Amino acid sequence: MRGLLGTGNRVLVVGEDALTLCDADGVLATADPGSDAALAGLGQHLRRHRGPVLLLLDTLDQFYRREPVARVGLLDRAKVLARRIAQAMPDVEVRGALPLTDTDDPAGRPHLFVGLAEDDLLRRVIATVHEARCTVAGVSLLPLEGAGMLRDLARSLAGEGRPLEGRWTLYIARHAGGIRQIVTRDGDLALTRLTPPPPSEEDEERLAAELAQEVQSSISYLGRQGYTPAEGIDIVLIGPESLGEALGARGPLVRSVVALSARDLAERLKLRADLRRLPAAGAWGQRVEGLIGAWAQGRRPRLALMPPILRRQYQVKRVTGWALAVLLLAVVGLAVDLTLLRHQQYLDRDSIAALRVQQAAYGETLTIRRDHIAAYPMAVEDLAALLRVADEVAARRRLPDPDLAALATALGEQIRADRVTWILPERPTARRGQPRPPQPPPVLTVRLDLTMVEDIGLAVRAVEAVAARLRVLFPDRSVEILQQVASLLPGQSLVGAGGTVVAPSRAPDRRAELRIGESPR
Amino acid sequence: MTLQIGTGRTILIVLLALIVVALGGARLLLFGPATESLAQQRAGLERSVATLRRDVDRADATLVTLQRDWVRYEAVAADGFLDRQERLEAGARLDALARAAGLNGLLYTFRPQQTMETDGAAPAGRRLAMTPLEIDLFGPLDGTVLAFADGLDAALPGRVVLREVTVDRLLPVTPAALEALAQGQPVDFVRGRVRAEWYALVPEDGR
Repeated sequence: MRGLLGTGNRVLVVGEDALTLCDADGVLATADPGSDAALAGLGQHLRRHRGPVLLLLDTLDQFYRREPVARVGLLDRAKVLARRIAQAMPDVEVRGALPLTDTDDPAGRPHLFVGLAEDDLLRRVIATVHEARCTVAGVSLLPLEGAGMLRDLARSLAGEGRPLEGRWTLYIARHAGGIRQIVTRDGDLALTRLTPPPPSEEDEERLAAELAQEVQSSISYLGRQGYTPAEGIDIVLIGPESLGEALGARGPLVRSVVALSARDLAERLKLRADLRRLPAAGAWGQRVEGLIGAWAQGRRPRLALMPPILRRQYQVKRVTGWALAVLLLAVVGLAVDLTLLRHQQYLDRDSIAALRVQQAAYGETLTIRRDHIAAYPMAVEDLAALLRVADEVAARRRLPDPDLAALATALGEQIRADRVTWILPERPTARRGQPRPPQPPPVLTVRLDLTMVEDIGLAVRAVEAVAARLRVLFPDRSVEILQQVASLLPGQSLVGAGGTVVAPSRAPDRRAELRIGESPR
Repeated sequence: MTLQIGTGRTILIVLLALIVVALGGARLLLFGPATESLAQQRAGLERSVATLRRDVDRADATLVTLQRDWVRYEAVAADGFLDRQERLEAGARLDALARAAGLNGLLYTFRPQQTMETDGAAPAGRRLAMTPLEIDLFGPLDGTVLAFADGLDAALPGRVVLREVTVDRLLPVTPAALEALAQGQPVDFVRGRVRAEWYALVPEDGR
């Protein structure tokens, strides 16, 4: 993920005796921190390619403590960690903590507490960077990044068949401030030391003895961190092979010694550094802190520290960063909004054009339809009213045909009607709020003359037979005998005589009357 | 020590702020109102088109109704229902109907014309006129009276509603009467009486 999550900045390695500016291509410039002129020259280098600068401190005043931190919830973790660091390093101004991979400690997860004094050198370097109108991308410690570099190096050496298989690895090299040792345990920083250079660096025999002594001192410190002599230690030396062999011979606790030149180191770390400028043969004193800086360039620092003098700048940077993000979001949001509005306008215009066409078409159709309607000589409402009245009158119309034909069938050939009356009753008027009742059926009245029938009983039965036939023919109507041929009905008076008594001389009225009316409900 | 935002970043912030202002201004002053106006215009047109579509549908329905009703109107008009009630002409038609039915004679009375109420509103400019009609008929058979009553509605223009039909036998069927009938003499065996109502939808100011 190089360059993606990393800073992508230049790296300024701050040593006690030298400042080394580097990027992915290698060392760009070096300067003596004690010289104002050298600092000004460095400032010119920085100004040439403005951009953030990561400070990688290779100085003396660095404090490290391995401490377990109780396992707490996610919300309380930062608070607990800050309190523990403050307790562990109360007098140190710049503090930070790095969780370690070792999780065996029952007291909590081990952390590497890191402290840094904000000394005059750091302030001068930061001022130089700012004067060059560059920003400090962050402050980290070279031993921490060196530990990471050693892990990459171990992987590279393993690929060459020279694995660093032990848990402990020691890097030793001549840096600007002295002899830098970085010891890692399972890839985590276990110890680092910066010791003054030996007085006789040219004499390899004496140098080897001095270095062996320094290594021995470091190993003695490691005992507190669980190092046992049986484990041994792998050493990576930046120097000649001969010095490595001499060092291996002198250190009984050493498992292996790998001696590398600066070019070897750059090759194995796959740096973009111009290898032609680096010496191929290993020699003690080759400065490789620039290569560590080049390795760290583009990577996210393992631990970014925040000196007080930078805190405000970071706050301003953060605020401006947020402002930029908000403005960018606003620009994007507005651009999207305007695009959507533009699209909506396009859709609306399209719809409006289509609607206008529809409007014209419907308008034209409506005009044609209205012209057709107007061409009729009568308004539709008047026509409907007229037809309604015609229907109303037509509904009153009843022809006597069906009833009279049925009557003729019922009478037969023998019986003649004396009088036939067909009356259509008036249609009742509507009650308020109710529809008008339908037209009632006609009322038929038939008077029969049965004078020619001598036998009165036969005449009576004939009338009853006619009534029965009428009831069959008019099943939904009432058929009643209004008058029989003799006064036989319960409501009539019947006069009779017998024996010697003669009935009053009154011609027998052999007429009957039947009525076919509306069915009684 | 000076706090640096950085020239590039400052320029970027200012540039972005200007862009935001420009875009925001365009959004508020140009695009927003224009889009709103177009949306209103579109909504108005949609309403107008919907109204027009409804009107066309109604006009179509009206036209269909008109076409259907006009056919019926022509039939009603052809039937004389919309004509004035001409009594002289009607009397002549009654006479012709009686002859055609085989009646020997008739006596008719047109009573004064009345204006009738209708169930609904009367059509504009017209009123429903009703003339009561009483007709006495004389003929040889009851069938002749009934044939006259049956043909009455068709004989007169407009509509005729029968209210009452009465058939009375006047004479007994005797050999003498039958002889007279055979010699072609008119013999009135029956007398009929028809009471009817003669309707027409006449002009408001017409008879």
